[in-house]
Parts: sequence; structure tokens; C-alpha cells
Amino acid sequence: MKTLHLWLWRASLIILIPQLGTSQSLQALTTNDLNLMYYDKTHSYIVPHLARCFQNGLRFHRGLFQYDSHEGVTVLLQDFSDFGNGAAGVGPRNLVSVGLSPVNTVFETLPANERMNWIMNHELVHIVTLDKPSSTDKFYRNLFSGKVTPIADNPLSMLYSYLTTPRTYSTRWYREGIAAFTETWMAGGLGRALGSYDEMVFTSMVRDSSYFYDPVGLESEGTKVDFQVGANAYLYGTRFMTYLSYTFGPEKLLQWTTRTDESKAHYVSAFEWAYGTSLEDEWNRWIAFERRWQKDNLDSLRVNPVTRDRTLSNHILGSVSRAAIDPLRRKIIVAVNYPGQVPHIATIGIDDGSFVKLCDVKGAALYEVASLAYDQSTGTVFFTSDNNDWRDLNSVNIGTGETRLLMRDARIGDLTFNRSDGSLWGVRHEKGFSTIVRMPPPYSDWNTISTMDYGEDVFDIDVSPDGTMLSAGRTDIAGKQRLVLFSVEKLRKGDAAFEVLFDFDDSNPANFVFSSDSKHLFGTSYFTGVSNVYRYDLEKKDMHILSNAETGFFRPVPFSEDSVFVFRYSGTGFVPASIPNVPVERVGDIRFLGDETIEKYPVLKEWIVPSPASISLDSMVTREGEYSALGNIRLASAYPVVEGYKDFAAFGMRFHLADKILLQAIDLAVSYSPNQLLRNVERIHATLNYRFSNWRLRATYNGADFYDLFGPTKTSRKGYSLGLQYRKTILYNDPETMNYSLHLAGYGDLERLPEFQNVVASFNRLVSFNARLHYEYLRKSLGAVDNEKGVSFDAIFTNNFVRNKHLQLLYGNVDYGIPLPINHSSIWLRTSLGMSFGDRNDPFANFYFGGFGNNWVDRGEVKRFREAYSFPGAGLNEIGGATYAKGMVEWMLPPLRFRRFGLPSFYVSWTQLSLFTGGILTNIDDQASRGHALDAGLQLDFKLALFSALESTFSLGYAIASKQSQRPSDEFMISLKVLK
Amino acid sequence: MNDGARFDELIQSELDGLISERERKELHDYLARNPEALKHYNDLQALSLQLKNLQSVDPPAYLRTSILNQVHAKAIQQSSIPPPQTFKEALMAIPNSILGKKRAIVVGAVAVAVVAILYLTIDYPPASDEDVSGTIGGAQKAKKYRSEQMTKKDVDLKNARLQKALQNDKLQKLIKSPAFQSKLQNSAIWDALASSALREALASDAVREALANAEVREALAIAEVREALAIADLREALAKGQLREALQSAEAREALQSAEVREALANAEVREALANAEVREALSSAEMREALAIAEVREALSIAEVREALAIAELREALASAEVREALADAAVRDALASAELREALKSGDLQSAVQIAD
Repeated sequence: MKTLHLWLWRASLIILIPQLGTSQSLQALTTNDLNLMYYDKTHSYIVPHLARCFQNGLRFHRGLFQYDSHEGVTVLLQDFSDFGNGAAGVGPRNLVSVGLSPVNTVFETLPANERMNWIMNHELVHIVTLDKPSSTDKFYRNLFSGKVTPIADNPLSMLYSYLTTPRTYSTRWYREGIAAFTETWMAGGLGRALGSYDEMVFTSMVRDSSYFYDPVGLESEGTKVDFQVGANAYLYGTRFMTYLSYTFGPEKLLQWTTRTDESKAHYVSAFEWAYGTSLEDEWNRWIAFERRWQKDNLDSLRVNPVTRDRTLSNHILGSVSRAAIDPLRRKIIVAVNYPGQVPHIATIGIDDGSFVKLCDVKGAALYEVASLAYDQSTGTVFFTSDNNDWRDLNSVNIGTGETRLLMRDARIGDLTFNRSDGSLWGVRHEKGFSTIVRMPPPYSDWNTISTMDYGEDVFDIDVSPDGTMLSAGRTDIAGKQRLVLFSVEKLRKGDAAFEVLFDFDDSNPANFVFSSDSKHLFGTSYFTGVSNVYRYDLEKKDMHILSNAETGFFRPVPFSEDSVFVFRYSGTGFVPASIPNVPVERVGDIRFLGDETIEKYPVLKEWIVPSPASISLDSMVTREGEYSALGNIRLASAYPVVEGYKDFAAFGMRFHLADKILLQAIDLAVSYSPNQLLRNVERIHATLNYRFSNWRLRATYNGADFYDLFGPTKTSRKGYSLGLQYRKTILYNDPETMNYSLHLAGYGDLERLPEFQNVVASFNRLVSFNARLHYEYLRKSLGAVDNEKGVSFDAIFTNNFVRNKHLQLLYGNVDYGIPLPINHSSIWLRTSLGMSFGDRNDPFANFYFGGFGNNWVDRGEVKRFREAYSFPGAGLNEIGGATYAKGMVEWMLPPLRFRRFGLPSFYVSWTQLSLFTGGILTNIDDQASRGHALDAGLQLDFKLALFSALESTFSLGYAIASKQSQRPSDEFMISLKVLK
Repeated sequence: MNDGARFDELIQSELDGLISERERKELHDYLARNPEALKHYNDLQALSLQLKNLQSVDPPAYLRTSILNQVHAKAIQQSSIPPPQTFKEALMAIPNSILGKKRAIVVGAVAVAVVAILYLTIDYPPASDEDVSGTIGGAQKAKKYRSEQMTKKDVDLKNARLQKALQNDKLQKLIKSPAFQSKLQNSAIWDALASSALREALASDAVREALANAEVREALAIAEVREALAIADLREALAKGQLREALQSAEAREALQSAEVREALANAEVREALANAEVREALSSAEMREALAIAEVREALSIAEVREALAIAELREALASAEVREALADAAVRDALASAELREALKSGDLQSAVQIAD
């Protein structure tokens, strides 16, 4: 055993020492308002333009929202995914993350002009509306030395956080609504407030008499169970803001959303103050207005004969990819993503509508699901996974179901199959550029065909069946959309000249595909305001409209002389259908609420921002060069705390320091227990955490914990400790990940074991080394509250050095889950096995089990009954052994979601029940001391939302345990987990 | 005008609010004397009040479309009447009562007007590709507010050419190759590529293939060989194999006195390379020969991935920029391609939690 521990020490050093020398270099461009950081020098080409967009947007927002803060904003430029996006936060500092890639044009859900300009305009709205302080907010920011972020370690931080940034306690629809509304007019009308997809969603809801969520229901259910999930926040929010603007004017809207000394802190109260009526009442008036508005639109469409489609399958598909048709096998092949089932590739029978799942799609995108192409000759479906990351290329055979990973991190989508030579073509996104690529068999590599200039993108490409032409949608910096045609032969020779077949102005030419005779192209566009099907004649060079849709038709594929396969939009998802391949005579247009708003209030025309090129950046730059996280650590906040130490309260302060981009952070909590029952030496408490890169340094002195105020589980310990942890991810293929951690800690003046509160330490000094390897591949469907399938395992080795002896513990856990045919329900087998290598009479050489493990008020895992050390029904640490084997079966029942259970400031989202039963065998290797126990129980969880942004979980649990030679015992658990 | 008509007019003026005080007095004096006229006045006033109290109603949106459809349908119906086949017939169809005896003048004026209209509507302002969007028969284009949008001139990028060039698969393979990582951290190589002559020469497949040959490169390492190849006559002669012609040149004779030159030319592969016109043309450039004098450059060109990469027109174009060459020479650029660890740290750290609040 000495050999083993030496081997492990050496292995750890071999792993650790190189990491000490690893440097991570961020570059930064700084002005008085901006810290623009990027980790990849090849991104530097966009930095000046992004900085100009920032300064341009900020200048505008200072005027519109009277934003006078000079805190500055840290912007991280990143290339984390193949489609561009942005994110923002204001606590503890103003932060924006900007994705470099082209934006996704799917279903025209995101109309936008040049993307850096658009993203910056949008994200800065979040910054100014959430950060702008009133004088009261400034007072608290001064009092707490900054903006406090709520942390689970000390829930009092939630109160301080509200006092320093009250507007962060608002719903997502509110935040996204004002941002999407403003972004539209800043871009001269190109945005979601004038979006065709948005208009279509509400037209369909009225047509189908769908349920309109109220403000509470939208957060608790509407953004979770609908196939559009979080996108509903944008849809409802933007629409409501547009309605308010149309009805009361944009000035009133600004009055509501701008934090001033006169305004109310909470966004709901602020609404009443600004509009003189309750938010709920006005929301209901908006719904009534929307019904009238959309009825007019539907009447307008119905003036001309509406296209009646033939439904091919009653299966509502949620979001759908491009479809392929196999006329020989009589199948439609498509990737789907709907609530209740993990996203997957499926076939639909053309004749009987039968629905068969082929394989899962890992990392499905919200609307697009995956990019898909099909080789009819071999029955091979090519599809992308990790669609929210760097896309992988995969294949699945529809006959055998065999899947293969062809290229990892290929970053290629918009797939199309060239029948003439068996090659795959696609569009690759990297470092902000779009490149048409070709992948010859066996599809393990790609070749560049043509790279677009920055700001230009091609999408929805298709190769004609005869292999001579490639069609594409093409967009440019101004947001112009054209259907174009390339010669495949010329492309392969490096000539990327194209012919413009049709200029759709600002409507996407979506999903245009060739007919089987290569003479026509079929696609869709919002040309009339509704997504209709169009047919382009390549010989006559003219375009015809084939439908007059009430909702919208998408992704057409011609599959016979007289029929075109389409997906029809409905409120619950896309429905596979067919329409006649016949031009219609007349199709009217519809009215857009956004259009009528700007007509009514032309002041919105003044919201357009000037060109970012008008910014004289060179005169603004104060520094350019490498960024040092350590050199930029500053105090972010300091506030009073209450902690628990054993059974006593302690009062003190917590200090939080961090650098601008939160790469490094220091947390220091110092408190004092005034209770005279405590010895002097135990009255002072201190905990220091320093996080830098993959490292964690932790030091404690009589470590206290807030949650010890709410027993029975206590983590506070007498004594001192110093620990260093290193954690590294070795596989990051979300949701498949593998990581390891190494932890070395020394403890002194111990009374109890650090990990087990009820076990008296046999000695008062301890050095502990812990190595852990963790792997997980867990998945869940839309609308799920927990993982529904997958596998995870842990392998942990602990070496305790005490009294000049090494005591090793080795244990592992394996969890495996499968979904049940019932939506959002699954069965899990959770197992654990462990052995120690020391004297079983030494407490350090034993494992201990017992109890649910939840405190009355807690911050740890909600379902702690799953942990290896828990055994509900038995007392905490009651069961012990030097070796053990443990197993549990858990049945997760589907959650019950509440459409409306509470108030905007406090509501219950869902409740979910788990039933479990398990057993444990201890001291397996020693018959004399061998023991066993069985238990069974349940846990019922309620998800709560406080002030919209603070999610907590209230849990009730009950279990009975039967231990060898003892009377059964039971346990009742009640716990409130604060924050996520 | 008789009294009745006169006072009807005054009543209307009063109802329209356009009556003067003198006229109002006159009207009311008349009404006081004429009960019938007074009744008529009261009826009109009541009607006017009712009309004022009516609320205006916005017509339903579909009505506009419906009306326009009707108009269009009528136009199609009316067009079923055979139109005049010629301009003359069209003119002849205009009634004499309109044209009178001045038909010729009117025709001339109409013709001028037509030409002017055609000119103004077709040619002025000239329609650019960017301004004209397509029309689709039967489809009414949706009305959406749009103001002027950004264009390329509003986007000022830095070194975009290099970044675009970096999208090429061959260049990506080159940069990731161990050979590139180990051998090309030398600014001399990239400085040499500042030469446009060198870059142009390297556009040629023949030149690159020639430089792939180790013996050719070794030969070019010799200063005398390079100097010899500067002599046009010698190069020509080497192509044609007519040595006598070459020896007519004093320079050529001098060059051939060098043992190294003769040794180089004794090599069949060297001669074969030099037989290619493009290679000879390339070597006629002093800059090219200077570049090839640098050992690191020759070594770089021995790497297949480098030659493949230099075949890329965009890369050669990009190399014209000093910043681009500096970037490629900079180890950090290459390291950036392997910046996975930092990317991961930023992707999964506290930053992502902090920006979850809004996206």
C-alpha cells in the first residue's frame, strides 16, 4: 500500500507541475468606458469595430436612458459557438459576452443588421436598464462597497443585492422585451419588434385560440414547457413593449424601464407608478388588443383563398430541421425537438404518418435542432450535433440505425448532399467568417471552397441533383437577403461569382431546394409578411408564390409533380403537411404592430444610431496590451454577515474581491461569536477562498457556516485548515464532460472529522489528499426539471495522513438512468462501492452513512439522498464500515407545473416527486463486523421563485430504514435550499 | 339670386362656421319673419349636430385589400376590351371633341410628355442593384418601416485579409503542423515574403514544384549559381540547349568558369527545373534570388505544407501587409490556435454565471 500511495503522489505531481507553468494570456483594449478583452489574437481584426460599436451604443444609451454611470463595462469577445449571440450581467461588475460567429437565420427569428452593432446595442440596453442606480441604490452601493451578488453561502446577500441592483430582480421577458424593442429602432427597423416570426406567433395563437400566459405563468410554465422555451420570454416581452409603446407612446415606456430617483425599485411597482394601473390589468388589456389585431390580420389574409394543407402526421414535432424525402423508402427524415423527449432524428411514413426514432441528437439547437442532409443511395443521414457549441458531423443509417462520429468540432452546418459525386457540402463558421466547404467521402476532412468577407453569410445551401449548381441564401452587412446561384464547377476552381436569382429585400430566402429535375427551386420567405412557399423557375427566371398561409409554411421539399411537403407552424410546434404545387393568384399582406407604432410615433425614427465609423476610437484608447487578472483584482463588495458555529451565532463581515472578468476572486469572511459558553479560542472565525484559473486555495480558522444556524447538519469545525485544489476538464463535449480534481489539505486542532460531524477525531492533526475523476453524459428534454437519461461515474481516492500513518480510502459511484415512455419520467440505478486500507478501528479509515443530509436551510444539492454518504431513515453517520457496497433504485415522476400559483414577486413553478429504495452492506470483508441495512422513502420538491430572479427549492422527505438487529427507524426531512 | 336661395346659402355658411356677423344678423332676422325657413334651418342644424356626434370608425384592414382587389379585377375585366394595337389607333380613339382641330399639336405634346415620363421613371435616378428588390406576381409585399442601413464602409476591420486567409484548410493544416511550429518562428522568412516578386513567383505551380526539389534548392544556395542565372542569355540558352549561343555572352562565359555553377548545371533535375520558362522568369528577379539566398527561406520552402499554403492566392495577397507577416511570425498567433485551455476557463467559469442574467 505504501507503493500505491507513492505512485499516486508521483502521478499527482506529474499532472500538477506542468500546470503551474501554464500561462493564460488575455489581450485588452481599454477606454474610459470599456475593457474589451479577447483570448485569441486572431480575433483582433474585429476589435476596433466592436469597440466603436460599444462606444456608439453607449453614447446613444446615455441620452435615451439618461445613463450617467462611469463604472465602465468589460466586454469579452469569444468564439465559443458556431452561431453568434450575446449575454450581459451587472453584478458584481458590468459584463458583456459577445459571440463572434454569424447569427442563426432560422425561421427569421432574429432579424438584424451587422451583428457586432446589433449585439452591442442589445446588450447595452441590459446594462443601462439593470445597472442605472437611483440615489438610494447609490447609497447602498457605497455602503456595501459595490454591487452585491447573491450567493448561496450567505443568503443575506440576496437582500443586499436587491438594495444595490433592484432591477436585476425582474423577469426575463421584461429584460429581453425592452432590449429587443430598443434594438429594433436603433437599427432603423431591423429587429424583433418588427419581426415577421414574432407577428406569426401571435397570429397563430389567436387563430388557434391558444392560451396566452399571464406574467407569472409565462415565467413558471411558458418559458419552460413550450417548444420555444426561453424564446417565449423574448416573444411576449417584445410584443408587450411594442403594445405599450403603440398605446401610450415610447416615452412612457422609457419612464417605466429607466431607474430614476422618482421611480420604484421593483419593476412591477415601477409599472404601476409609470402607467397608473397594475401590470396584470394592462397585460390583460394587451391580450384583448392582440386578439383584435390578429383577427384583422387573419381577415386580411382570408380575403384571398387560404391554402388548405393536408396533414401527414398527427405527431406535433416541436422544432424541426430541414427535412429530406426518400421516395423509394416512402419516408421523410427530419431532426425534431419537442417537450418530453430528448431531441432526435426520426422518420415519418409518407403514406401512414408512422413515426420512428432513429437516434438522439446531442446538443440540439432551439429552432433548427440540427443541420441535416441525406444520401438516398445508401440511406445515410448526415447531421450535426453540439449545435450550440462547435458542431460535430455525424451520420446514421436509416436501415441499421448505426451512428458514427465523422468529424469532431468540424464547425460545419447548412449541409447538403451532392448526389453526382457523393460529396457533402456545407457552410463553416470560424472566427466570425463563413466558408463554403466540401467534404469528400469518407467525410473525415473538409476543403475550403470559398470564404465570404466579414459580414457576409450564406445559408440554406443546396446542390442540384445533377451536381452543377449550388443555391444559397446570401445576406450582407445591411441585412439584404438574396437568393443566389453558383456554378459548382467554377466554385471548385476558386471562382465564387454568383448570379442573383431574386432579391427578397430584407426577408430571408429560406431553405430553397432544387426539384428533382434541377429546373426549379422551392423555398419560403416572409415577403408578404407571412411565411409562404415560393417556386423559382430557373429557365424562365421568375418567381411564383404557391401558398396563402394563415400561420406559416416552412422548409418545403417537392416530392411529386403536384405536391410540396412543408412544415406548418402551430402554437405547439411544426406539423408535417403537404400543399399543392400550384401558384396562387393573389396573396395579401398583413399589418405589423411595430410598423404601425413607428407610424404613430415617428420619434422612434430618431432612435437610429449613427454609423460606428463616426467614433474616433484612437483618441479614446487609454491602453492596449495583455491583461493581468491578478493585477486587476479590486474590492467588489463588503457586507455584514451572520454565521453559525456549532450551536452559536457569529456576526461579522464578508469581503468579495475579483478582477474585471472574474477569472480570479478572493472571498474573506470574518466573524465573532459573542456567546460566553464558547471558549475564547473558539470565538473568532475566518474563512478565506482564493480562486484563480483552475486552482482553489482555502483556509479556515474555526470555520463557521450560515447554514449551521439551521441544524442538524453542521459543517463548522473547530481548528484550522489550509487546502489547495486543482481542477481540470479533460473532456468538454457538453453535455458529455470529464474532469479531475486534486485536493491537498492540512487540518489542525481537530475535534471532529472534517467530513463527518458526528465522528470524534482520534487525533487532532490531519493531512488529507483527495483525487477525484468525474465523468457524466446526462441529458434531458425540453421542459424537464432534472436529467432524464444518461450515465455518470466518479472514482475517488483519499489519503489521510494522521499519527504518522497513511490511511487510504478508495470508492466509486456509478449512476445510470433511462427514460420511461411517460414524458419527463425516468428510472435510475445509483450504485457505490468503497474500501479503505487502514485499521478498521480507526475512525479515519472508515466510511459513514446516514440521513437525508439536508439542513433545514441549505445550499447543497437538493436531492442529497442520491449521494454516496446518505442513507435516509438512519441517523447521520450512524452506519459505518471500512468497506461497503450500496445501491439504490430511484423513480423520478413527471413534474407538475403550475400555470399560475403565486404572485409576480413570489410564485411556485413546479413540484416533483421521487421515490427510492436502497440497501447497503458494510464491512463486506469481515464477517464479524459485517452489517446491512435497507431503506425506502420519497422526496417531494417545490421550485420557488422570489423576486423573479431568486430560485429556491423547498423539499419534504420521508424515509424508513431497517438496520441489522435493530428496530426500524424513520426520518422526516424538511429543507429550504436557498438559490440554485 | 332669389331670397330663398340666398338664405339657404347663409344657412350653409353658418353650419360650416363661415358666416360673418353681419350675415348672421341678416339670416336670423329673416328666420324670425319666416317660420317655414326657420323649421328648415332647425332641421339642418339637428342633422349637422348628429353628424358631428358620430364617432369615426377605422375600416377593417382587410377592406383596403378587398377594395384594391376589386379595382384590380375591374382593370382586368376592362382590359378584356381589345386595346388599340398601335399608337395611331390609340390616338384615333381619342374623341375629336377633346382634340378638336389641333390634333397634331396635342399628339406632339403627348409624345413629348410620354418620353419625359419614360425618361424620368426609368433612368432617373438610376436604379442600382442594391436598391431594386424583386416583385412576385400575385404577392403583396409587406409594408415594414426601414431606414438606411449600415454598409461595408461603416465596418472598419484590422487585418481582415489574414483572418480570411486563415479560413483556408491548407493554411490551417500548415499552422498546426509540427514542421511549421518548429521551423517557421523566424521573421527572416516572413520578411522575405514581403517581396511581391517572390510571392508572384510562388503563385506558379512549376516554381513551387521546382523548389520542392532539394537539389535545386542546394544549387540555389550557391551565390555564383544565382548570379549566373541572372544572365538572360544563359537562361535562354539553358532552355533551348544551345550552349554556343550562350557562350557568345562574356558574362555567361565568366559564370561558367565557376566550378560550382558547372556542378549545379550538371545536375539533371536542376537543368529540368531551369528548362521551365516560369522558373526562369522567376529567377530573373533580383528580389527572388535575394530571398532564396536566405537559408531559412529555402528550408521553409522545403516543407510541403508551406508550398501548398503559398499556392493560396488570398494568403499571398495577405502577405503583402507587414502586419500580416508579423502576425504569422508571432508565436502567439499560432498559440492562439491552441488556446483551448483559456477558452474553457472563460466558458465554464464565474463569468458565464454572471452574464446569465440577460442574453
